Amino acid sequence: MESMPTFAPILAVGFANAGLLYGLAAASIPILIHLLNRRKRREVRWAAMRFLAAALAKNQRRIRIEQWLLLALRCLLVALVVGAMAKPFLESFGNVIPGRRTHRVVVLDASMSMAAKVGGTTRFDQAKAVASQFVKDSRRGDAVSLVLMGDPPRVVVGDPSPNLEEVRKEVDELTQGQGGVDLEATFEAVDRVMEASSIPQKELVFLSDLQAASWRPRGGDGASGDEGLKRSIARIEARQPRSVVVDLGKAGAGNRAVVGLEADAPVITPGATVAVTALVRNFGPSAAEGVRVRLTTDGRLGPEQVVDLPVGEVVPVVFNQQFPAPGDHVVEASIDEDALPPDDRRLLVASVREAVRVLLVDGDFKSEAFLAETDFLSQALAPGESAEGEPDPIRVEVVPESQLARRDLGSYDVVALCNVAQFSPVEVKALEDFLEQGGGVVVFGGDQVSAENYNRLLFADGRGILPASLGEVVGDAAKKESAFRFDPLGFRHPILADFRNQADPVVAGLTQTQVWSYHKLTLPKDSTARVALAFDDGDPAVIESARRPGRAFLAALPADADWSNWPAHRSYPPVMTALIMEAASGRQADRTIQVGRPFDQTFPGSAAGAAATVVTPKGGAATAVKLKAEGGLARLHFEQTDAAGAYQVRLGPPAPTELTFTANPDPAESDPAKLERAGLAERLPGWKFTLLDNGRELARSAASVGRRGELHRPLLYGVLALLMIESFAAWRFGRAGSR
Amino acid sequence: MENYQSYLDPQTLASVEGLDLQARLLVEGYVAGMHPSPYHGFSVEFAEHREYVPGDDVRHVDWKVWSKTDKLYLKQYEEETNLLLYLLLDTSESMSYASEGRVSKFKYAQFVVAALAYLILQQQDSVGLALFDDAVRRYLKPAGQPSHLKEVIHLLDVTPARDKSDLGAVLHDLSERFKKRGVVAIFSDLLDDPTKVLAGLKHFRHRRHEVVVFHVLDPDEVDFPFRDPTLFLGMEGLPDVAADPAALGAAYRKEVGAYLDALKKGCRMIDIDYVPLRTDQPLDVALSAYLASRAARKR
Repeated sequence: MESMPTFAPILAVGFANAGLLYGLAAASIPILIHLLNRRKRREVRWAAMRFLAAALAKNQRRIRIEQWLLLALRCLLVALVVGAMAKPFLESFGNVIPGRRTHRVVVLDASMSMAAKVGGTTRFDQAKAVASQFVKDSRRGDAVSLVLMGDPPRVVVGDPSPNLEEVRKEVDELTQGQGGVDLEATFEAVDRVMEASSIPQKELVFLSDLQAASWRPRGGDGASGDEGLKRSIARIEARQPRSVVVDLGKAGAGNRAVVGLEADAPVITPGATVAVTALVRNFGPSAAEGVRVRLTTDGRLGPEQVVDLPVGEVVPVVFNQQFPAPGDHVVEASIDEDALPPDDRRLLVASVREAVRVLLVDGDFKSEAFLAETDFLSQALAPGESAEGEPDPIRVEVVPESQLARRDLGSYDVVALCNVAQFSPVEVKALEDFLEQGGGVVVFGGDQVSAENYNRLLFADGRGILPASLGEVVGDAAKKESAFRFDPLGFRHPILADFRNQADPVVAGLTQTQVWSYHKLTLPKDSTARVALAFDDGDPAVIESARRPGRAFLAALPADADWSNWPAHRSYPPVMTALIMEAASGRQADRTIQVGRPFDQTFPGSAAGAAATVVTPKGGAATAVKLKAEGGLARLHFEQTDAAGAYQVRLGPPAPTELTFTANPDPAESDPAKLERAGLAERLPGWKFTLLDNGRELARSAASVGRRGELHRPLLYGVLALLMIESFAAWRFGRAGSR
Repeated sequence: MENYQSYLDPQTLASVEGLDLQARLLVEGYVAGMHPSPYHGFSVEFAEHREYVPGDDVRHVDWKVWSKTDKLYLKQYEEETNLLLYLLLDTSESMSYASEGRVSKFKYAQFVVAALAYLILQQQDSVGLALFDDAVRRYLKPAGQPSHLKEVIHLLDVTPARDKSDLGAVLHDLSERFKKRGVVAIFSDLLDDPTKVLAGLKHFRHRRHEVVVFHVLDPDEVDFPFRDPTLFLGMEGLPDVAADPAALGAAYRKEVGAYLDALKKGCRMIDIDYVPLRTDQPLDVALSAYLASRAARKR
């Protein structure tokens, strides 16, 4: 019964309650009764024996046959009753595959779009009801597995459970997710779950709203990159399951959502005005007017704007916001609730830093003013012009290069390396860890720079901190004969954002800068690094590395005025400030994650082993996690991010810290566009499925499949027929005797 | 007056001690129910006619003569003094069968025999008695004195023995013994080959006896009402038979019916009165059957 036979018998019967077959012994009860009756018969002294003997002689044969017939009928009756109680079912009948024991895999779409309310209940609740009914309709002997479709998918009941009541309980306890769907992982999970059971007959039921965004392979529509999905589908199809997709969605449904929320400043400092932009989208079907967009900061209702939302367009709503106190602030943009509430709000953690702390490492440290390598830079970053009591947003500390190894970089946000001749591997490691924690590294060139040391340790063939290798020095700074000028590359990079759409004199302050000499920087092939500023001969001047979470910048020229006259230009301070701010932005990056994705945050190595607690938006007790040491750093890895909202992380000693991060739904989940049969088939090529319009059809089709091959009903009809035959025969034979 | 009629029920009568008393009660009960005067005008032999005179009982007017001659004559009966009634009682084991709540065939026959003896002796007629099974066991020569009743009752007071009956042989034997012509009343269940029985009866007829066969059977033996599987223990040395009466009843009844038919038909052929008696019938049925048969013969 358990394993697929190598050859298919013409007729194979299995029993759901095979144990009851011992009851077949009960078929001997009529025989026993018959024998006991014979023994217990009464005795009569009889005179008229001659008639009796004569009658007996003539009828002995007939009576015996009748008795055997009755006895056989009664035995068969008992046997049939017992057989029916054992619930037999056809395993196979020639080529016809009837409803034998089935492993049913129920997959519920738990993506955010399933939270859409229809008539008071959510689609997810409907899916649960359908699943529960489906499990209830299962026959004894069937085993059920339960998988939640999500990102990541969750296997709720992996080992096929024959305990249908338990599975129903599990179904009842399922909760709505707020993430998207990883289709590939979901099918992979289904494949694994199917593998877990040796029951050869499989049934796969998806309960979903068929939202187009959920049923999208990771690689896009039919593109490559969904090889894993195709493999999983092929493996699933190899088991020849009966696949059913129950469509719980509704075409043409509307939705409005906040699909984005971000602050434009890379680093937020107290009192600074930050533009917080909420992106609101109307997915149709009709335009919406007068939609209120509210901004809430730390639970306090903030400004509100009223916007009109044309169909299909993303409308940015900008709030100018100030954060007076340093620390993590939860900013929430929300619109009025519609049928799908989870995406009507979006959160952002504004991590307000008291100041950006910059460590300037001077490779040519001199005490006289403006002779040291870093003097222009430190003046540009912290001019000391801020009002009384309000510290500069950037705090600068200058150290000679010899001090670099001794400094705890963890207390700075950005480290600028100015004309440092060379690095030791220890220093490089410290810098890498610093980047890993979200710190920013800015490397300026200069005459002392050892290109060989830089390329070997910092570039390391593209694996290191630097995005490009250093080549020869172009031009002659001593002669100052020919000058290069900057090409701002259309001001695309954020560090040049201040020059966008500015008047020509302002722009000239940047483009008329004269550069006499620079390091020729060579980007490796297929590099994802961005050139922020170039020279007019096309060589890169400032490159931003793609390293995350920290940011690294490499400048082809020094921070001082040795190779150029840039530090004397008005464009120098704003560009440098923007550069440092961009470099520091890694400190606050990724405090906003997508629901279901793990939250990762690194801390200085000293925090390794520290206990941390995370309070989730769902409330309840805080979840305890431990920080794990990882390459000199301590990493916080938190996976239970299945709810949208703000998460409070509290780090215990030895590094007491508090931080907040938020999880937002996948904006793609807000799109109510729905797949039809053809679309679904196209996205999952090779998968054979039946699409049902609602749960009732599933119950019907499942019940009909379930009943096929079940034999106890015909057996019970047989019992009924035999009962009637037995009564009739007994009456007939008895009548023959009493006539 | 005593309610004699209740003694017509064999069960009730059986509760009375003493066969002579039983016989008397039975006859009194019978008489009380049927006739004001059973003795009147009862005789075997017709004597003569005499002319009717006013005051005579019109019952005895011979209407046949009147129809021919237009004169009223009375039938005059000779007081029967020499009527001989031979009572033959089967005492074989089979007669001892009694279904539940009933008297045995033997007891029933005993009552009737005693009552008849009592009745006959009251009429000054003679009564003889023979008890038999496979042979004649006891024989009392006919006599007419009232004191003869005592002897009859005494002889009757036996129980059926464990012996077979061989009716054919016995009847032949007895028909040889009874020298004087008379009425032979046979009380038996006649569980024997009908042809043999009939042959024996024929012998009596041959010797000019009048024969009345009182065929005593238990209702069970005729109706076969059993339902449960039963072990039938054979009497008179016959083997036991296990059978399911529910399945066999019809066949049994068919056999019995055929037998009774054969017997009845055989008796009619040789002019023998056949009186079937069932032990659940009131006893007067037997008596009135006898008397009716006697009366029919008188005519």
